Amino acid sequence: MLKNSEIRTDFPREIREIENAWIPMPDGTRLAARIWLPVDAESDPVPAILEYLPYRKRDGTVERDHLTHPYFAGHGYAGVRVDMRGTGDSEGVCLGEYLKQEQDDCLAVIEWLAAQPWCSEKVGMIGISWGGFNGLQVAARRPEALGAVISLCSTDDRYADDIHFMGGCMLTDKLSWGATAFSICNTPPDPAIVGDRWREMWVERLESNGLWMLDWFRHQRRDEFYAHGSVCENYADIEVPVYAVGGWADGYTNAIFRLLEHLPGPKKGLIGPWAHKYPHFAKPGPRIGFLQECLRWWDQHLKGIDSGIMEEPELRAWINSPVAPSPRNEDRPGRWVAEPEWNGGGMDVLSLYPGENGLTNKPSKKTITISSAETAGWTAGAWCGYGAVPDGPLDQNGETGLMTIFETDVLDEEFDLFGFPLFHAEVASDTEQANVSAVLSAVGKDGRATLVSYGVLNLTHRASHSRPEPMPLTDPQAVTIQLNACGQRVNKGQRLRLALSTAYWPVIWPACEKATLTIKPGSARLDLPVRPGRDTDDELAPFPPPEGASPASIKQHSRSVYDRRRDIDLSTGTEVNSRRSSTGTETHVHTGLQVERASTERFEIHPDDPNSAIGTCHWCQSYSRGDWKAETRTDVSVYALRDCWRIEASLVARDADGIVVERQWNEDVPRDLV
Amino acid sequence: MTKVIETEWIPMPDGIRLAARLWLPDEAARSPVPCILEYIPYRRRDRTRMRDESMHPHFADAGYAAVRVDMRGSGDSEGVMLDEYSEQEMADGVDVIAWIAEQPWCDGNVGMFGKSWGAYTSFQVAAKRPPALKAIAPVMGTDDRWLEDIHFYGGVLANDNFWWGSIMQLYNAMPPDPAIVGEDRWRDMWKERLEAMTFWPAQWLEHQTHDEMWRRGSISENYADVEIPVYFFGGWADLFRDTPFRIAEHLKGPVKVLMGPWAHLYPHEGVPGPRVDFVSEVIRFWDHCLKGIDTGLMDEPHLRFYLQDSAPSAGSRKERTGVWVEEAAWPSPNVSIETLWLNEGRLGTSAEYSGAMSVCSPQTFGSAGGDMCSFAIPGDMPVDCRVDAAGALNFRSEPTDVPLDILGQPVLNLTASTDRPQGFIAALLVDEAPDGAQTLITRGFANLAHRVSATVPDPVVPDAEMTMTVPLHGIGYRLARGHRLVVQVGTCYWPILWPAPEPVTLTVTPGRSALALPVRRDVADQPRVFPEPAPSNKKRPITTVREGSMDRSLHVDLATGEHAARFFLDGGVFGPVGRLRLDDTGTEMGDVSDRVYRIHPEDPLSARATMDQESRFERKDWNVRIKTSSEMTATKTDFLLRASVTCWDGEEEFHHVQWDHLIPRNGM
Repeated sequence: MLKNSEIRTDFPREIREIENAWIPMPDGTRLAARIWLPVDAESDPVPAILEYLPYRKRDGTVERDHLTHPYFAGHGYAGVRVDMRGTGDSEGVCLGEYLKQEQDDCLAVIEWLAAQPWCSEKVGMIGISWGGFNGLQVAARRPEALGAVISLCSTDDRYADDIHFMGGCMLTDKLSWGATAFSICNTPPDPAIVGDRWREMWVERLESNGLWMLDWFRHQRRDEFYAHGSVCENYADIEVPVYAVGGWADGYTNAIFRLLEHLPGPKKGLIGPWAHKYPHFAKPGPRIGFLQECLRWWDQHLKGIDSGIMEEPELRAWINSPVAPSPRNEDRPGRWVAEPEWNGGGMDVLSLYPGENGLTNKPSKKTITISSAETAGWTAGAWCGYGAVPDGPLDQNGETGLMTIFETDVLDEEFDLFGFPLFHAEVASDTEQANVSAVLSAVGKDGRATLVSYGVLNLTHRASHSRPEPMPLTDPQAVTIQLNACGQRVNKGQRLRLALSTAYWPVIWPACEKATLTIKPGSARLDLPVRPGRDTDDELAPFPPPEGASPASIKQHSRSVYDRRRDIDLSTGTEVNSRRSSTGTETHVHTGLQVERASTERFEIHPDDPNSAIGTCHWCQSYSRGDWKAETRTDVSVYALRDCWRIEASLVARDADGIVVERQWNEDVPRDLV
Repeated sequence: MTKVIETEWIPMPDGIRLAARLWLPDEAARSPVPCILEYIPYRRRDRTRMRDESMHPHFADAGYAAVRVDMRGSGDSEGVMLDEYSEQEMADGVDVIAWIAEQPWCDGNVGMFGKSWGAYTSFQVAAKRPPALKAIAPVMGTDDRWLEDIHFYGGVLANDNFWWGSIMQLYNAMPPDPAIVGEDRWRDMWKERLEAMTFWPAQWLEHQTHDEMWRRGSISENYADVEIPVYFFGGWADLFRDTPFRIAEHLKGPVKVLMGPWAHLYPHEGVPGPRVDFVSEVIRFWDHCLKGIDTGLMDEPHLRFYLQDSAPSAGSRKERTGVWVEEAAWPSPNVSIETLWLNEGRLGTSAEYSGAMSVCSPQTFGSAGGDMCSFAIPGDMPVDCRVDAAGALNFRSEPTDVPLDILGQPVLNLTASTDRPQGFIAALLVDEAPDGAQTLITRGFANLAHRVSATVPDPVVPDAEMTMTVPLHGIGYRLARGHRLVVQVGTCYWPILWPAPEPVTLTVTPGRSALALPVRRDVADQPRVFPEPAPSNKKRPITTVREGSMDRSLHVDLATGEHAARFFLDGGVFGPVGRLRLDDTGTEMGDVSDRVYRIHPEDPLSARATMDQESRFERKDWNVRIKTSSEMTATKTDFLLRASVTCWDGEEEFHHVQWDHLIPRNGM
């Protein structure tokens, strides 16, 4: 993940590692932790940096843990990787995401860390995704020892910006991520850590952890289920400094803008070109010296050293330059800009109007009709990109004929878009529930179109995500679609394109009926946030190059795989979008564990039939060391039927002696205006 | 009671004997009758047996001797077949007619018909003027092998050259039936065929210009050679859509034309429907020309066309609504040329001189195009043209305020430049419905190196302005009121056409390019109603041994961008019919074919066509298996073709051959 020249072995303080420490919870359950700390920490105590996850410190996150936590340790911190209750090598069971139990446990972990002889009684939390979520959630619980948080690729709002929904439409990630979590949370602990009781612990997990997704499908509107763990419910709960970090290719970047706008305490934001990865090894690049940046943050807030970081602009962001569309970019060209502070405003608004002459500066007098093939949206790429694989958006020309398209003339000036584009319209629907998507792209001189941003809206949520109402089949309703935040340079000679659609597959699940939408003449408007240039942009100090500690030694036995395909049966019209990935078989030299994680995802739909949508995710996780073997195979399918979500799932866990546990789930969850 | 003779041997002057199946009507025993000949290489004993049964017995019932002959080197006939439409084949045709005319059951009058190859041969043999041949009824074939065969479309290399050539690779490797030619002889005959085999796609590709090979067998070289009456049957979903207009204009003798909505199928089996009772209609023609009976046929307007209504695209279509119209002659005074100018993004009635327009089509432009020659196999017809629209220049008209009838061959006249010495234009005429859906009306192609001469290619001077003509294939179409015409212009058309060696950017000069659209005035047509074929209740003497299956699909690797179009058929060229047993001969047969066309959107040299086929014939102790494979790729300078054939008699490998051809590109 790092180049050799970026690997540091030489640190101010010598490092030791505690392979496994048991952290007792108040109920007697013990959580497993891996700790790197300075050798002399007991005589010269250090703040602890906690990363608290369900992704298996023993194998799942070793690659990045080895780059990061020893690096912190070498600079006078204790890097602490804790497996959550019921995951990895920790005891107990894990019954869902972001539960109160998880946060209570974390409070106890922080208290324990602060009480260790090697700890200076200060704790920081860092994490990406789940670990970014719980940094914010635990900060809102105000544990005494917690001094600062770095939260990457996370959300303040579990309803609005997570794998569940976008604009009130249900993301297919609810299934694909749900199937991934289902697979991970049913993996066994390592006998080398927990001993002979590994099988007993595993069986407890397999029989208890369950299929969390069922709960997620049962909750289809903004309700208490999502309010829990959403710090947006009361930003004032968070008093400690928060550094919110993300990237344009990630799925969670909208939250950074809201956190900066609403958190009352000290805060900073950083948005790179990156996907869902730590910025010292993220793609698309350029990567940055993120761990150095973390140290400046920790030094400032956990050690009381003035690193100067709080005098710098509150929000620093990469503005992507125009590029040809590609599902994978090693680097995205662009430049850094910064806002001294972010309060949600400060941008100019460029209003464009779709109509019979394309996308112009005058409202159209004609009605716009939208009724798209259910396959519209296939070029979108993953909602949340991982970057290292070709999961990004494709040439948006693939949507011609599927979406309704409006284009500007060739632009004769250049400008930066920064923030949230908004699409406003008065829309009538011939069905009570319908979705609409608005997709913004930039068309190059060669005619190819690169995605800039998109947004979707479930029209029944036009007024409220908590109290959806069917569309009246008569009058047009005023709606606003917020497109996802973007930072994009638009050049002279390009054109901007707005594509409207009633489908956005396979990003969101289809509506229950095929809809035709009509937009009242003159009512459609796209408001683009245009950033006025700032002199200070040119004065920004560059980030240092990426650095990290020595990577884990991993022997690869078979090649990793990533495929992404679109298969169209021309005789029936049915279309399948699929992904296949595998880590290949690898041995972690330091533990002797042999690991392979493989998955396939398949999303099938017929262009004329929204009820034909089927998503299927298969996972296989295997672990072995000598005679010890453990493997889980999971399958989850969701059928988007007219009246319900049909969910079918199965789990088979095997060890060297055969089947350990086999379980099945079948449930029809009625649709709730989604 | 018709007398059916399974095999009659027809001797050729060189001693080779051709195998024929005969249906002789009762009265032939008492007084001689005229004869109807179908002369093709597709195996009367098994492969076309069912189709033959749907026509020839009806001719016999109508008082004709019907004769179905296997060409030399095919089916059960002796000798070898070295190419399509060879001089030998035409000479044999003439000799077969002479033999027929001398038979005691024949009154000396012969009519000839056939679909596809059989239509070509009908034209070609007619041009040799055998005295006994009095009329021909070509169904879906051409007068001009350069303009309208499976090899080149608009002078651009067609993938169908590879595809059809690979089909013939399999056919040419098939053995005669031991029950017909003798247990002692069939292996020798088979070996002789196999040893004479060449790989035709390569053989044809040696001829990349309009040279003597393509002139051979093209009656367009001298229309005066064909003097006898011609009744041409064709379909708009089929390949041969210009031949009816050309022969109606140029042949001196009487020409009848019936153009329906059909794919490459006889009109009585025609899909998309409505079907037409071809057998009855062609019998009226035979009665007129061979028996001298006044059936009224020649008093009717000679040309009959189906005007297809506007309809959403469908890759599979059972019916196509429309109306029949008639014309007395072609060109028709009812049809005049309307000029639509290619203005910036629009089709206009006057030229505008601003806004140069450029496009460099991705190599995948054409993915919506279906097949050039549909067989009505599910998925082989064009789908919504918007799928490809971003890869082309698009010119849209205003909506029509009255229905617009298009009949004839539109022509796109372009003034433009390109940035590469080699390239071609793909032009699509499209019907855009008010909801935006786009249906292909017709299309045409032009190799820019052939803009002056298809005989002597002349590379394009990059960036120099040139004028060129892109003829679009003939069509009858009724554009609904409120619909628009759209012209799409692109620089590739995969997988129908093999790409130029480099990506080509086309720049169209504003104000100097226009579509010449043949528009038919509103005529109060009242054409005679054609009967649909009567449904047959007779059980076909055929048993399905294995159900067929098919896969026609497009696979896009979203990581690399590569497109792979797959055409798999368990049942071979006849569609997904699986494995069949002919009840009266006991022969079990079946072909499986798997064809894949791959290309990367940015790299024309990534184009790759492959086809693998397997065929079996089985009956008691006869068990023959044939496997073929073929592959075509290209470099910037050469075409590369590889192919092989392996045959087994039972478990014994009977023959194996493989070919490697490297053929320089010549203006392609």
